[in-house]
Amino acid sequence: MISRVLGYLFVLLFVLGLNFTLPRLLPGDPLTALAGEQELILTPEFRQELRQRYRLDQPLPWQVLHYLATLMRGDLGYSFYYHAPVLQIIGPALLWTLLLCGVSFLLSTGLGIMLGVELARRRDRPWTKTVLGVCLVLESLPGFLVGMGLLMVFSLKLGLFPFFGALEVTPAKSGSFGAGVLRHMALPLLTLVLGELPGMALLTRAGMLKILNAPFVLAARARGLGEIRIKYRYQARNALLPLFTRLGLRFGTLLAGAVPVEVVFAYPGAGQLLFQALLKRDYPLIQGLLLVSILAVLAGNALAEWGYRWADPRLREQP
Amino acid sequence: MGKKFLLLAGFLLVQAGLSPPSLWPQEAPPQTYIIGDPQGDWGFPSPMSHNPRGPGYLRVSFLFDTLIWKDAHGFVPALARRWEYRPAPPTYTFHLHPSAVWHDGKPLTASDVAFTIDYLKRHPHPWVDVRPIRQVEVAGPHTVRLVLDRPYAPFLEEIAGTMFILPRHIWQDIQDPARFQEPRATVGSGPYKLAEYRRELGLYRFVAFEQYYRGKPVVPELSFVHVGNELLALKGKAVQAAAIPPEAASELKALGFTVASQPHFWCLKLLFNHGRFPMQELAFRRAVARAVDLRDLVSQTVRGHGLPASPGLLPPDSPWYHPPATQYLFDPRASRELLASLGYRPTPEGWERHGQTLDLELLTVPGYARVAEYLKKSLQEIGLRVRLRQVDYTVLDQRVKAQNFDLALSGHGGLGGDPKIINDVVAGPFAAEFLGGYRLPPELARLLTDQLLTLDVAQRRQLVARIQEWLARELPTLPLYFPTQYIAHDGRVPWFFTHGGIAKGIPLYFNKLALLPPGNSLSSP
Repeated sequence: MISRVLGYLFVLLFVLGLNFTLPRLLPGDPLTALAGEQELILTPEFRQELRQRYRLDQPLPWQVLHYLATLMRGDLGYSFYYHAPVLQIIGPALLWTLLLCGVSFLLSTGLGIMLGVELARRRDRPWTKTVLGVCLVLESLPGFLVGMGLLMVFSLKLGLFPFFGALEVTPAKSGSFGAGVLRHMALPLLTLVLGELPGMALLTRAGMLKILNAPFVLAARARGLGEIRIKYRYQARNALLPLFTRLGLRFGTLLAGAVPVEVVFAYPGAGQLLFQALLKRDYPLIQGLLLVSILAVLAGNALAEWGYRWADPRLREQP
Repeated sequence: MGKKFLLLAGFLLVQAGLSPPSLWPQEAPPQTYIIGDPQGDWGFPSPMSHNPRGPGYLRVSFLFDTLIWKDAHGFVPALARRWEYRPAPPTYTFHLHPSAVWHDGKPLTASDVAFTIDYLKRHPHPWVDVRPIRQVEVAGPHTVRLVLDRPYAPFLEEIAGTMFILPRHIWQDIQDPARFQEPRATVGSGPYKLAEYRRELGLYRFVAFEQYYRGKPVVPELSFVHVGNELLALKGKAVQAAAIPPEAASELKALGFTVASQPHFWCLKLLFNHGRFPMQELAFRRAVARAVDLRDLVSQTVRGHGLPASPGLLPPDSPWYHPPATQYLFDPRASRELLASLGYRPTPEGWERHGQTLDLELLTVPGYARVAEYLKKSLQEIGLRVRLRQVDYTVLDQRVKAQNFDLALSGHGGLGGDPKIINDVVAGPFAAEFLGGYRLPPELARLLTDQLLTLDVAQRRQLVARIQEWLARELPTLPLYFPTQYIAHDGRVPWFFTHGGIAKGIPLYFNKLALLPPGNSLSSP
């Protein structure tokens, strides 16, 4: 256990170094990105002032030391582009991402497993073939296309859901805060779930098919256990191992995975923020978001490991 | 369990969409006017921390006023209800509106103007260079004199019409203006007060300022907000105005929207690296110019939504435009002759000189990919070998600044305002970086200096015409086209296009004067 924690700490330190270096290896500098062609009309004094303000005039080793020193204090730095502390910028974006992607993660995982189990157990029914076909089509469709389709039908034609954002923008419109959030989240959530659920279902189905008639299932039936218990406690649990790998990977990419959906619905998540930060060469913001992303990847790995051990008791005995 | 879960999820989704109208009102209240923006956030809306691009400035302009402003025809009074100029020493005297007050109710006086200039000298602003002002004299509570070092023709547009006046009682103790992002930092003297700013939503919500010295705005509440798809949001009436893609113009017109095209104040140019042979040769630049059919380029690459550019840089929509006598008509044969005049000879592989085949790299960004393809094809037709390299904006700008390129596509706006823009892009402190190291001929440099010092409009117009002629002859860059951009709105607000663009040339429609009550004098004094 201790060696595992030490391993994670080592990885964290290593990636902190990368976190500082990689953004600076991107060609182009933040001032050019900040003003673009407008840089031509920036006053020279303002340009110099920006360099000093963001310590871009200091040698790289000083910048590293400054980064580590501020990080130790829990300060992620100051965004070049937004003129605000990084924590203040990524805080709301992370909350929205956590809400949207977290709910979609749980929904698509839960519903995907249930659908996969049913598709495997009822594989002889005619409807399963249709559902399989729909799953394959949905999985191959890009998220932004599904999102646009949903927007056109549910927002433009039926007028049921808002077109953009995560909250009502006029106070007079907002019934209650929670209702506004739910209403704005519905279509992005549906888009994400429709994109993620089929993969989950297909993977679960494939795993289930291998163990549908395994001897331990026969033994469970012989012991007179109920079908629901056999289905989920015995069959699904054994079919979930490959799914944990996928879930661990997905957890790590939660931050950036929803970018196309965030763009279509102007949903204020962290993925879009990271994309903009990369374009703007906003080093402190990139570093802050990558740090969160790295932590999510590490957490995803740890959760997948824990999931393996939960699903397969044989792994618990291994060091 | 599965069925219950599915039912619950379905119920929640349906509830979210189908709840009663009292909980989910579908239409925005009529007093709220929402403008959609695909980018969203343009920085905290204070004069010292907004994003240095045009939309960032525009948002602040609803909160803060300048000494003078512009309407569709030219300069109009703003905080200064009138102004005079005396030549010796060059002095502008501004008489402030006596009923102008700050959003917190305190009166706005001449000492606020003096303070602003002093503050901007200590804390530079991205757009306003106050160095031409030598001295500020407060001649009374509502009279201020600005004494200049020497005559400065762009003064009214670049300084008086762009510099937001700051409230002294709020900013006098602020040492780090960019980080001053409290509600107090948005207390201005403009027609609107800031009600809400949400960075993550790109939301700026303004409410009308009741005590505004030119009358309370007719639209009580105005918002800018980030939208994912402006076209759908407009059609669904979720926003009342937004920029739209050109191909949507006729459809929106048919739906009853007011669609307006913006004047052509932005130009896409082909940059040459003047540090490398043969791009440093005028004959080569002219050969390239003659190899490209600009009319066809506009029709092929932007489906006709643009104007072929003038080699003199300024667009026909600019009040300072002069059609240069030197034009480069499409003539591939003349191009080949010009290349041959540089010692190149045509071979099946391309143009060869001293045993080396000319092989050029054209840098582009994804947004100009079609233009780059068109240029490659045009240049290949005269036998030039061209490789395309697609990078992002920042990389392209960086490589141009480092002169690490042969040819590059880049553009800039600001072409509708004061012709000082030519000085900025040709002779400004950073111009050489964006012109691939082009060295200014002394005569052109003199003309550029003279136009800044010439206050007589007719004389200045002649100088600017000669500058355009020079640029057309010398071709430091090859202007390609001015794209046509469109906005659509529901017609509730009589948006108009500002003479030369808002402030120092922002090519956007949303001028705050359109929101003021009728009867406001919009004519120049």
